[in-house]
Amino acid sequence: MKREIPLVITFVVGVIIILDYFFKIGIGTLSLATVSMEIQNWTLIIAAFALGLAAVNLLRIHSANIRLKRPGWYNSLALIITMVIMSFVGITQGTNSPLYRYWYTGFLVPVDATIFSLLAFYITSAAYRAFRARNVDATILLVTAFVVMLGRAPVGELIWKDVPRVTKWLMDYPNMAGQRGIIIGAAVGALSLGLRILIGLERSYLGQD
Amino acid sequence: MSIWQRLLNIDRRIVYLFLFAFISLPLLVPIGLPLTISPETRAIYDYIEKLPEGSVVVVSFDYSPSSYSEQHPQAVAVMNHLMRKPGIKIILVAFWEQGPIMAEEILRTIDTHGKEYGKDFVHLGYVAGGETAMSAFAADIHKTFPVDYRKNPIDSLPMMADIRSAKDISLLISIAAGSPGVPEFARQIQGPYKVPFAAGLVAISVPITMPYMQSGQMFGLMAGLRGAAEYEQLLNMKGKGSIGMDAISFSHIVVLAFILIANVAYLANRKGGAK
Repeated sequence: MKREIPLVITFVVGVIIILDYFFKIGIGTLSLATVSMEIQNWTLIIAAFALGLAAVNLLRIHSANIRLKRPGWYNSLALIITMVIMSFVGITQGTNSPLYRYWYTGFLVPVDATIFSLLAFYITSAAYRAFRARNVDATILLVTAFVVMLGRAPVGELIWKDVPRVTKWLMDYPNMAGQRGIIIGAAVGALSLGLRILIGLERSYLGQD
Repeated sequence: MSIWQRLLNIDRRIVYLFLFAFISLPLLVPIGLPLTISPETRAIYDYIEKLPEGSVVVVSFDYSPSSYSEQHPQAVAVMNHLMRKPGIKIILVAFWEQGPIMAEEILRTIDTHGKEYGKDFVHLGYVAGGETAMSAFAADIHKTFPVDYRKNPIDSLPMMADIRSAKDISLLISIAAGSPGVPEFARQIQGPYKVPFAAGLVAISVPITMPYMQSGQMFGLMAGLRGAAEYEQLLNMKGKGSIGMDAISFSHIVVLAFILIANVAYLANRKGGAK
């Protein structure tokens, strides 16, 4: 029963949501849309609990790092201290309070933005080392990247006024064809995975193979 | 070691130094390189310009501090435009947990042009659940957000009395850094409810999003900081997007210069080796 009940719940909930997406079915005041809406609200509540669970799990893992003095344990300590402070201020004074905003805009925003910005340095170094005309394929990639980069910056238009037009063509045709293929492939994969979950063939989400 | 071999193996710290210098200089001494406005950005501007009074626009703040420098200027520009337009109702919402803080920052600093909270604009805050939350929001806004971000019951906000679901929305704009973002909005709101949809994106996710533009699921997009700068230009405002554009140009020049150096050296070195 421990295995069958979750499978039945998954099947029933999945079928209701799918039917509601495509059809408007209802008898009297009770409609499939109402049931579907109720299920979605339960999902939102579960998702909110999952956030709390994630916070507890984070605390558990990083506490163990500190206790066992694992390599980089001081990073775990910094995480726990900031997490406790931010949570305390957020819960007691609200996320719109001046103190919370001070911590958020004064610490989190610059740190997070800095880490993301460091990518520019790594990408420049990586581009310098990787973009080399070693063969025909690499040369096509190199030329395309060169043109698109020029077309994305205002300076490109100063160098050659048609760069944005060529960039647009590259984005609208070769890029679009490739991206569309990826999207359709992923959608077909998601569809087949969804079907497998619905009929109980795929059970890894239950914590078993 | 020949000159070509040296140019093939430039120390990464030198690369970093050049990039740092070329990003910093234009920030300190702006040049103001001319900027052409892309049709994708203009489409959003034109759409908002043509919105009749009473239209309801949802702006979804789906980004975090990591893309703040690229996307916050987009959100500021769009919010400025919406606030300037009389009679437009604005709903701010977030499907990323850090979105509401970004939205509040804008509401605190922006000129609302006489628009009042609760009557002309509301901030609903964040709801967990990603794509499911979007679907629930579209089906029943009041049930998904019983209270707004400022703890007011949603039924107490005059503006929300007639706005119940996605059927009442005239335009949806997501400032999206990832997932949930464009594909999820296209699936759960644009498709089923036929809500006109546009987005502000980090430059890196523009290529993967282009099919949604060509299919007509999106009618406009702002691409990275450049998108923000273009929008600011359309609004005749000087924001962080415009300020950063020279730095973008210069950083691209550095990257391209290093790629060029590496390839000239690579080919010369190979030619030398062949001899």
